[in-house]
Amino acid sequence: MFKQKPKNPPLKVSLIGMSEKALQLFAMFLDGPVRGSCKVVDDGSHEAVIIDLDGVESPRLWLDMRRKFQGPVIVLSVTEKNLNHAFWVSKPVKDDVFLGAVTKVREALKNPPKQVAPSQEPSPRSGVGSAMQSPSAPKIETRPQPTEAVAESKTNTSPAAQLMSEEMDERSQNCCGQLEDAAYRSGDPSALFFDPNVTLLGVFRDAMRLTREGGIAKIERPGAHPIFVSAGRKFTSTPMPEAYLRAVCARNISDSPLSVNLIEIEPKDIGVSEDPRLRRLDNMLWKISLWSSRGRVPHGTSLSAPVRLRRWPNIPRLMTVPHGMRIAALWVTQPSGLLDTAQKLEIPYRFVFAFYCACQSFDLTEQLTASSPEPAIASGATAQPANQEKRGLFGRLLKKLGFG
Amino acid sequence: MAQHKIIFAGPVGAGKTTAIKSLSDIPVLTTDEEATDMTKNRKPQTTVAMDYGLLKLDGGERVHLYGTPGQERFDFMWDILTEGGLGLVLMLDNTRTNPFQDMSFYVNAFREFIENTQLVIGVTRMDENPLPGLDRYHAHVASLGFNVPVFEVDAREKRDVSLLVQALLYSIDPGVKTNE
Repeated sequence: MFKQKPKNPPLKVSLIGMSEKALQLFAMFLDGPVRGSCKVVDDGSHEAVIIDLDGVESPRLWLDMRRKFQGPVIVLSVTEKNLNHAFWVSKPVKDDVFLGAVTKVREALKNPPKQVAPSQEPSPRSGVGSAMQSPSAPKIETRPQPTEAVAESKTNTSPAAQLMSEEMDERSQNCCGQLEDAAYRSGDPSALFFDPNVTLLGVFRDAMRLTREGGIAKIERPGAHPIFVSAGRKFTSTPMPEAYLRAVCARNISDSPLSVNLIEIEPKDIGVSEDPRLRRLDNMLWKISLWSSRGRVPHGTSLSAPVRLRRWPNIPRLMTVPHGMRIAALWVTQPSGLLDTAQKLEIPYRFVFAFYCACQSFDLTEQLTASSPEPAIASGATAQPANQEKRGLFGRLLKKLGFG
Repeated sequence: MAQHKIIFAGPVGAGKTTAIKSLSDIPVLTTDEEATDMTKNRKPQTTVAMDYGLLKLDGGERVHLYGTPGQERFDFMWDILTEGGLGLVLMLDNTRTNPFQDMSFYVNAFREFIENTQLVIGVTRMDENPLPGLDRYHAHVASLGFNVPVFEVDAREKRDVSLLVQALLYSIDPGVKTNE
């Protein structure tokens, strides 16, 4: 049965970023389960845009679209997107979630925002994320900008910088906490250190240890979503969405402990995580480490001892940590203390601390002491640090590749 | 105007041509021919001279992307190709019988160039063949004397190939600043 037709006239939309086949399928979707909600137009009279952001060229596509259109956008993607004036609908697209986004677009058209608002934490149970501040939405505090580079990108008119800034804000907000640099300079141990054993991270690591040789562990708390883990079989699965998991990571579990038990069940009988972002074991451990750390490091970590990276994390398949690539490169080529790293790279401390915690979960790091042996292997190249001219070239090349 | 280049190397079918296509601003010039030797078991067409792509930067600068031919009988060209290069992107295919043998071959063949610049390794087709895992690649490249980025990549994905190049540049100089 099709849904009841909405009372409003169809929203005039333009479709972007879809192949011919996808266009046909989406037209069938608009003409079927959500009939009457939207009407595709190609004469420039659209009130909103629906864009698929899962293609290789999607950043460029987004920027091209934004140059021409400033109105509300429905973003279709398998990964959560929090972009200004946009409503994320997770793929595969469900009719009720899509209709919810259309309703939000209509509200946005009635109440156009006067200024760009910071991204808003999505509801853990909602499939629609919104970065647009509506009149009914709770007010969001404007976060102080941590570095000059980021502050500039906020006011920079470059669309590429704006997009990167939006994405970076979302990533840093979610993955590295919100500790200000002043907290790190003051060295307050209650702010900078945490005990992994009272977070999901400690429990998850226990489950990994238990299943190193095989078997499946089930992490659970009565009444909550379980997490299944098998380190030996490189398997993880959970019915909870990513935003919910993130909230679990932020909790102190000492008041309501989680249990870890080995269970007799096959991965195929458990099935894969409903949320496609929670299907890889390595990325799950990485994310849980970052979200449990929130810019802190485990008790006992030295803030000054040089950190050496034994090997690189598999960065393309892990959630992005702002400046993670630079931190990794520094720790391979010039082992540096945690505080020193942030100062050398001129980046917020919380990125360094969170990245360290995640790397430590994979046993990729070691803190050097005066008695530490020299590494058996060199960092790779013996190339000299680039001179100013080459730094300029590298910066332009990175910008070209979409990293700056 | 300054000219720069990045070299892509690796065995037949590892994704060098595809990686260059993912990045290049121009249609990639490739010299694929029908394979007549053992390579035809892996690819009906293969690169017999080189691939060429181009990245055009702001201000008119250009970064040339060169893909070395996958077949060892063309190794006489490698010294010429690498001259003045920024670094080496080594693509390895995880479905090959012995990808570590491939790694040893290319790392040793380009050792002088790598020691003066930088190396990054992209392992392709891990979705088809998850084993060996990246830990074994790290161990093997360490046995050759290097601790370098080794990433699982899909050569068709621009983001993956871009991250390899990003790792290459930051490995040379982590101090390079962008608006990241």
